[in-house]
Amino acid sequence: MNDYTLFLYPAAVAYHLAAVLSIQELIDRCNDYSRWIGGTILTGTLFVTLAIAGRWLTYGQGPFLTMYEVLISSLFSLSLIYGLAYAFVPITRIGAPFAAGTMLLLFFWAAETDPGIRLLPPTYETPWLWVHVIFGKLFLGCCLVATSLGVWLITPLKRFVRSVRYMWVPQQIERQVWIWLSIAFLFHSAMLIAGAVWAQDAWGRYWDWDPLETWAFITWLCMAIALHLRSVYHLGPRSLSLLAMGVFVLAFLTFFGVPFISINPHQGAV
Amino acid sequence: MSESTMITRASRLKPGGSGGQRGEGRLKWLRPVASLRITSLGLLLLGAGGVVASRQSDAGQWLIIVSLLLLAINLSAALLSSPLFRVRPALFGMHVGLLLLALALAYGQLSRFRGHFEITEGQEFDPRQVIVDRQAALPTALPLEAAFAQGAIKIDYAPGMMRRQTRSRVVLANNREWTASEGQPLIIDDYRFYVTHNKGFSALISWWPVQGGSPTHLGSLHFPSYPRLAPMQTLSWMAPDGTALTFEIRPTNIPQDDDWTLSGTMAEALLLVTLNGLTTRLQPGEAMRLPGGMFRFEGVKMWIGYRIFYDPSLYWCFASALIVICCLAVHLAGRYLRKPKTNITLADTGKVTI
Repeated sequence: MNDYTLFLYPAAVAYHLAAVLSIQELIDRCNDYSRWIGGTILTGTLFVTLAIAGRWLTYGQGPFLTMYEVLISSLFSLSLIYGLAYAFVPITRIGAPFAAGTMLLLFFWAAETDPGIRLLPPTYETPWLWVHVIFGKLFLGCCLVATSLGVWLITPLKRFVRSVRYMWVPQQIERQVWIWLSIAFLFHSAMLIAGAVWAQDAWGRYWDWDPLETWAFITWLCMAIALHLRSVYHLGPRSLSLLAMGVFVLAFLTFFGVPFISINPHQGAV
Repeated sequence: MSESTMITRASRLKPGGSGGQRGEGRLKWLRPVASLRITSLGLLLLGAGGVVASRQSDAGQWLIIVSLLLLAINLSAALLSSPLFRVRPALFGMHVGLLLLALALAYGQLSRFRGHFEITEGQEFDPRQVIVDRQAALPTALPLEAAFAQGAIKIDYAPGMMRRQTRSRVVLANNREWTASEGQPLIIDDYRFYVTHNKGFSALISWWPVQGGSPTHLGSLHFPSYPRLAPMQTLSWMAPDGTALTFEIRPTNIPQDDDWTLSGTMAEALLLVTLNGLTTRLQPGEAMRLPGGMFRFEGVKMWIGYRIFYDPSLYWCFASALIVICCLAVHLAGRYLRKPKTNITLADTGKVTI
């Protein structure tokens, strides 16, 4: 085991604590744990940052290529984005159990994945890679926030809530779901454009319908369809939340499922 | 906000039969074409086209073209007839950007050219050597002969045969030098020349016919790709007089535990020529007599493969995509960051602050 991977374990403890506290907060009538929950999520982010920095310093390259690298970098970005949303947008706090659970899932997945290193191909040495990856992480982070709120509308969890701080009106939650999903759509579009510019310079084609490109495009289309459907049909909060969750599941499979088909995030693009 | 609410808001903005409303009336017939249901259908078709295209099927390309056409018509109708776009200028801008993007992509499909060729160090670019992979529907003209001359080729490797940076120097017609590498194509007249991982050694050969006279320069013979096919550095060549020959070169051993650079100097400047089972070793400048003439071995150089890509719509696509992104950002900021209005108007009491 490498030294840097040791930082991931305190991060997992922090996420676990955040999940337990966030459930406790919902059913506790009196006590306010929100500071502790926000603190533990951001502490987890700090430990993941240390793990990534340690790996970066050890091998001299960023976490862009292997499944393990995609998982730990996503763990970092998801927990940072959700942690910031938790701190500054109080309504997003009801999604903490789902968000912390997702982070724990990513941790266990990363723990089971080979942390071996592969040299970055020369085509990855471009600022467009950074732009592409940053927008991708922002997109997934916003999707996580939207889905963690949407879960609330389609499950009977609200029956168990006793804390008055979490008695949000469904319309307020629905509005937040669509705000986060719209922002995710913006970042997803920017990710596709940055990726196309990178691919054009690196491989001489801006689009090649490789599995990741195809599924990223389908995710974008689903978001576009969902946003249009919202304008056409008067769907209720439950239906809209199901649409939002569908987009998140698709995005999650695109980010973490397609690399099962291919060794590299982009098949054959080295 | 629902479509019906937007329509109500738009009609409230233009009271009393203004010119805008008269225009709206004229364009009423466009409303069914601009339906968002058609948009959803077009997007679904586009997704299906993407899935089929990812399986390298031509049907996918056609499905994409048909769905893009449907979406372009639907969007044009919506831009002309929908009152929603009149009250949301950023949303209008975003959809105009999408329409421009669709048009640019369609123009790109019609004018796109793809090809590949191999070139040896010291050789000039010859458009006749280009193998066309995709001919554009619209007429295109490849850059003129001798648009550039190939210079030194060097490829860095990390231990374990891990390919790193490729550096291919070229001299352009105006004597300007350029180094093409991964992520940095050579661009001449909008034609983009990309270095590929396909490269190797080539033997330079000159041929004299038996009757004498000036030599006919036959150019270079490319050995198989190196180091991918390192153990197979042989090739068969039929001389102009019909004699079948086998050529072989012996590159120096590849360092296994160190960084190394592949260049023309890695191959020993020695050509092994096999004729009727008898092998002869030729140094640069040495010649070999055949029944119908004589050939001379001039030396060993590197060759490299290039891919050519031509699509004059690239910059238009990028500009349209930027318009889409910027307008979407402005639209979302206006919609979600704007503070809710605190003044509401009640019909019977006038303005009331809440």
